Amino acid sequence: MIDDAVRRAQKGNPDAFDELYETHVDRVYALCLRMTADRRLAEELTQDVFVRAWRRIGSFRGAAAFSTWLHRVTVNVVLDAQRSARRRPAQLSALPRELRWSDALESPGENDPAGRLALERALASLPDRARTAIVLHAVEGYQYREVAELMDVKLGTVKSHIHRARELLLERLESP
Amino acid sequence: MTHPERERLHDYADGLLPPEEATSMEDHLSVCDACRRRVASIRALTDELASLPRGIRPERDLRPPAPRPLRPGDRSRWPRVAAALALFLAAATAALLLPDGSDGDRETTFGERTPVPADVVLAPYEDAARQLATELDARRDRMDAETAALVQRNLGVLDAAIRDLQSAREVASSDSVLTGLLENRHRTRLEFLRRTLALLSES
Repeated sequence: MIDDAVRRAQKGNPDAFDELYETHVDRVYALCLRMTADRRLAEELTQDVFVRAWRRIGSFRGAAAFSTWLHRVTVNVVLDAQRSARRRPAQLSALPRELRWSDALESPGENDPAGRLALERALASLPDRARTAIVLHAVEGYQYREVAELMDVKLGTVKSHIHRARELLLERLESP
Repeated sequence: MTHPERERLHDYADGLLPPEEATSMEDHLSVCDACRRRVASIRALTDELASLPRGIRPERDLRPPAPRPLRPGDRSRWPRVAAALALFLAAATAALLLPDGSDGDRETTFGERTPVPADVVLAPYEDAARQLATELDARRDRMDAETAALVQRNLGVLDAAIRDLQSAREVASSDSVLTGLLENRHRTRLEFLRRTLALLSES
């Protein structure tokens, strides 16, 4: 079933696009930010996600929830960008990770447990593919097999990325 | 004592070991504190990751304009506007990426002249840019989604470059080189806004 805002957006109602953006932007941005560990890139990719989603919203038929569809669009936008970046290795990897990490996570809100910032920082410090794999699996809830399909790698590769990510996270959290 | 491989510990913590191997792992854990603690740590980490907040509010508005139905002429017009902006941006970005000492307008901006307070140098740019940005906001709905996203994204890049230089200047406030670089970035931003508006008027 397609919800009302999506249906109105499909008919071109500008308020409906605003409504959908407001409802979903936090989730889209969080996913972009955690997968890239780079605030500026995450902002660019969030915009790209909504541009792509608005362009394709007419083809959304409601087989899954809109949030699920948009989540998948987000994952694909980020993975596409990462694949392109690997073909152009110069710019991003030249910057130290700490400088690229998000100010958004430098000041967690009052309700955030103290350990969250340390965990977010440790996540951001992981090698790209290990971070992508563990964010998709452990934060976003995709199964190993789904992560393998999304990242276009073998199941065993995903498992070793995730195990390595956990080992590095435990190491960094135990001795910050 | 022989400890199981790390991979096995992770598989056990995830509940992925076949029953026979799981039983033998439990036998080991019942006598090995180190491995028992490791499994507990892996599970605690998994729980923490799963409980991270799903949403984070971006610091600025990232919405692209809602798409609108194409009007006659739109198809031929927007690619030209986007291409013109892209050309300008390629040049502006190249200038931003130049090493500090080779900035294009260095001589005319901050050669050997007497230092002028940074606020005095930058104020006219900031005023003019504010005015143009307001004008651009008012006309944003005339752009198609992709062009608007391109404009917004690149204003973000220019703003970020300005913010970085401002932070650097806070540390070295009397540095005339930084003030000169900052002036160049402001000028690039102003020129970008002017060209965008000019292209919007032509289209």
